[in-house]
Parts: sequence; structure tokens; C-alpha cells
Amino acid sequence: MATIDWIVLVLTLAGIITYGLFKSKHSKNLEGYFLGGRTMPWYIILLSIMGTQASAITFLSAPGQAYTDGMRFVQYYFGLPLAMIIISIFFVPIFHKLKVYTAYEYLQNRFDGKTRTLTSILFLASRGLSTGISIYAPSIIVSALLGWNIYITNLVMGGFLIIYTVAGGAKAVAYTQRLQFFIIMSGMAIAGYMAVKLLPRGVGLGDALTAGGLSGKMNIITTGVGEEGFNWKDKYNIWSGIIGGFFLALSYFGTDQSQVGRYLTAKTTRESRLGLLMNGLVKIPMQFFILLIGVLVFAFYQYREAPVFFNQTAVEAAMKTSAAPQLAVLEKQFTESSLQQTIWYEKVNAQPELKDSISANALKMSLLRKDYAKLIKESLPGAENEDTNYIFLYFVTHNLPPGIVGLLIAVIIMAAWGSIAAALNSLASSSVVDLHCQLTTQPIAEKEQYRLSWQYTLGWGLFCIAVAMFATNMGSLIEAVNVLGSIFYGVILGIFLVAFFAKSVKGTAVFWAAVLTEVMVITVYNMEIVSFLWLNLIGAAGVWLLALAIQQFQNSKAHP
Amino acid sequence: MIEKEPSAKYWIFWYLVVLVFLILQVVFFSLLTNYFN
Repeated sequence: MATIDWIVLVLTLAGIITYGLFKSKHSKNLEGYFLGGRTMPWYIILLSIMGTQASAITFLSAPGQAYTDGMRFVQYYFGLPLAMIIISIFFVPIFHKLKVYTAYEYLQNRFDGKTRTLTSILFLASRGLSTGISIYAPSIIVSALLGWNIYITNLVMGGFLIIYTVAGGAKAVAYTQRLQFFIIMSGMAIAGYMAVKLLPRGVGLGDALTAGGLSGKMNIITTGVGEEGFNWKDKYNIWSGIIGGFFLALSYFGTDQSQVGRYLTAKTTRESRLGLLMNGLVKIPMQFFILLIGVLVFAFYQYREAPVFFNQTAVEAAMKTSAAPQLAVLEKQFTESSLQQTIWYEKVNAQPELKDSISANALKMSLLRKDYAKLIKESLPGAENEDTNYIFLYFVTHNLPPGIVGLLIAVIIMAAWGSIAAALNSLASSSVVDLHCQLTTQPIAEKEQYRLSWQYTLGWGLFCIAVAMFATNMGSLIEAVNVLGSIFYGVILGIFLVAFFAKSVKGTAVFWAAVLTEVMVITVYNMEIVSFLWLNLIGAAGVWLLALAIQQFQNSKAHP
Repeated sequence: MIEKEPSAKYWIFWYLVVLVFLILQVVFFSLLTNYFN
């Protein structure tokens, strides 16, 4: 990186920490620390829930996803606006009325202590591990592309934010997320603009999108229906997006404390609801825009030489193995196809009959990339066989001018900070409110509660950094931890749906329904019958049906 | 300070806005997909 990049990066990050500390004044009690005194307006809620959901991997992965698989990933968010409406109608008024600190506190009012404890432990285990991975996952990419030490990168990615998160609690988290969001969006807009500006003279946005379309990247809406009917393993299509995505968004925004904790900071029910509904309005256009940057980067590489595989560290390592000759052959074939593609793109406006050749060549190049990735995986056991997450940052570091590179590295780090800060705050609130205060028989004074709150925040911060450091040496575990969310979310949602809508069901029935359904979801996941989005629906429906059945059985035993 | 909650009509308006915007986006994306494929 050039000196100007370092200056931009350091100034931006230092500015965020200073701003976070400046905004950290709050009442020294649980409500002040975890809920910012319940004073936030709707637009802070909106930016806070968006900043919490969008992690560093969102900005690294989404453009790469569009580059490799096309824009159909946007369908993943189609269920989100519907979920925002349901949460606004049913969840928000109950949480506000009961003045809870965490979503799980409500479960004690509705069911019993054991259901609350089980749900909060499920949350703490999955969120704690996934937050550690959300530090490590972007760190490995940044360190590979910039040559930074991975352990130091982990510390930058997950360490500095602890300063303002511990000092300022939920209020500092929300205000820094607002500032981060504007910088992130400006950075991404500049990246999109540069991708078009760097296209050859005479090639504009329309040509870039046409190039993407000819290579199948403009597949925004897909039905998942093939020659053999509906494909349940197809990850992203309009049905898995609307139905599976709805249940995923409902459980994430309705029952995950890292999100519930954001809109509980609102001063009224109205502010919470407006923040959520505005999220339903802007989320899809925002993701569409980020994916579009991926298509523009793809178009950019149609006019100049692109690497076969964007993770250059893996390529260099693989080139030292016995697979090197085969890799070199594939690379040569790819380069030839790439050069041919550039020639055809330059002629296609005058000769539209070339469109079929371009599409066929695009397919050939895509298969060459897959073969290359497979060979890398075989020659380097434990290495990632996908380079999706490397594409955007490769484009940034190799093609954008100095200054902008520093800004975009800062964007990735800030995106990480926003979601990690909210996660730490929610992990601490659930630990203090749902576990520590419940398991202590003596009442805890307000001052002591406040001390516990910041200590737990610091403790979780250190734990997540430790997970990131260990993950560095445990490549294969990462994927397993990443699917944890999908495995637990459906069941947690099921518990809440029973709580809200099945008034006759009591604590013991829902507790055992949750345990049994969790076993079922893990079994279905291991059998690889459906793609992960459907697990949310299976988990929620399983808890609902089993809880009703167990309650019915208990009632019939009590009154034969 | 207790603020008065907006009426049911106010919320129904917002729910419809979110729903209609979702439908419009799906229609727009379908048109884009057809145009470029």
C-alpha cells in the first residue's frame, strides 16, 4: 500500500474510535449501557440494524458472488421485507411493553426459566463462535492480499473496536455504526464508479451490463426449476429467497439479541417499527447495488487479463507442488480464452452473431476456473477451493488508484467493527441479564451490574479474538461454525412463534419440542437433503408442531 | 413522557408501502433478467 493509503486508513479508523469515545456518555446502569437509555430515533435504529447485519464478509463476498454466480444472490433478501412487517406487528410491541433488556427475558415471562436459559445458551454459543469467525474470515483475505501478519490483522479487525464498545455500550455502538455506514456506502459507490471509469474508451455501463448478461451474470430472478422439476438443493432462487429467506430474517431480526438489542434502544415502539420497516425498504436495493459492483468488476476483467484464481497466495503455494504442470496448462488455456473473449467483446456491437460464441466461451472459462480451483484444493489439503471472497479486494488492490485503496481497506475493517461491536454488546447483555443475574441468588446493586456489563463486554471481546486466533490454524472448522446460525435459528424462532401465537402451550412442552427439533435439524443438515435456507423453516415448523403435540399429550394425561 | 402511538391506519399504510415496493422490485428484476438473457 502507498503512504497515502496508510494515512487514509489510519485517520479513518482513529476517527471512528475517537468518535465512539466522544459518544460514549451514558447513565451508569444496565439500561444506559445496554439500551442507550432507550433514547434512539428511527434513523439511528435503521443504520444500526443495517450496520449489524452487514459484516466485512458481506462487502468482500457479495461482489465476488456476482462475479462467479451472477446476481441471483439478491433473492436471498426477498423474504426480509415481509419479516420486517411481521416483527413490527407482533414482536416489537411485546418487547417494548414488557421493557425487556433481551429477547430471551420475555421467554421467562411467557414460559419458564429453563426455556429462557436454553435459548440464551443457544444464542451465546452460536453468536460467540460466529463473531470470532467474523473477525478471522476477513482477516485472512486482507492479510493474504496485503501481506500483513494474520495475527496482527486479527487484532486490527477485532481488537480496536473493543475500546469504544466497552467504554460506550450500546450508544457508542449505534452512533459509530451511523458514521461507519456513510463511509462504507461512499467507498462502495467510488469502487462502482471506478469499475465503469476504468473500462476501455467507448465501453460504457450498458456495454458492461450486456457483457455480464452474455456470461449469465444478470440472472437476478431464477425459479430453481430445472428439467427434473424443483431443485431443493438450489441455494438461491425466488422461492428459497421468499420462503426460506423470510424465516431466516424473522429469526435473525426477531430473536437474535444482536438485532433485538438494536431496536430495543429506540425511544418508542414507533421508532423501532419505522427503523425496521425502512430496513425492509432499503435492504434489497442496497444488496442489488453491491452485487452490481461485482458484475461491473466482471465486465472490467473481460477487457483485460484476469487471473484464473484470485487467491494468489494459494496459487503460489500450489505452484510449488506436483500439480504445477497441470495448473500451468489450465492457466494457458484460460489466458487464450480470455484474450479471445476480449476480441469478441470489442466486435460484438458490430457483429451481434458473436453473442453465442461469447456465451459459450464464458461457460468454458467458468469450467476452467472450477478445474483450477479443484486442482488447488487437491494439491493443498485444507486450503479454500473458492476464491469468491478474494475477487473484490484483488480488484481494489491491483487496479484502483492510491488513496482509494486505503479507503476501501478501511471500509472492510469498519464493516467488521460495526457488526462485531453490536455482537459483543448483545453477548454481554444476554450473559449479564439472562444468566449471571438469574443464577445469582443475592440481588445485585446497580453499580455492580454496571461493572459486570463492561467486564462481560471486554471478556467476550477477548474470547472472540481468541477464537479468531485459533481459527487461523483450524481451516476446516470454519465452515462448520458458519452453518451454526442456520442450524439454531429455526428452532429459536419456533420457540418465539409458539410463545406469541400458541397461548395454550406451556414451558415444558416447548422446551422438549425445541430439544427434539434441534436433533432433527442437525440430522437433516447431515443428510444434505436441502439447502441451508430451508433449515430455518424446518426448525420453526418442527418446534411448532411438536410443542402442540406434546402439550396435547400432557393435557390428555392430566385430564384423561 | 408517554408518546401517543400512531393509528392503525398509519401502520397499514407503511406495511402496504413495504409490500408494494417489494413486488415492484421483483417485477423490475424480472424485466432486467429477461432483457439481459
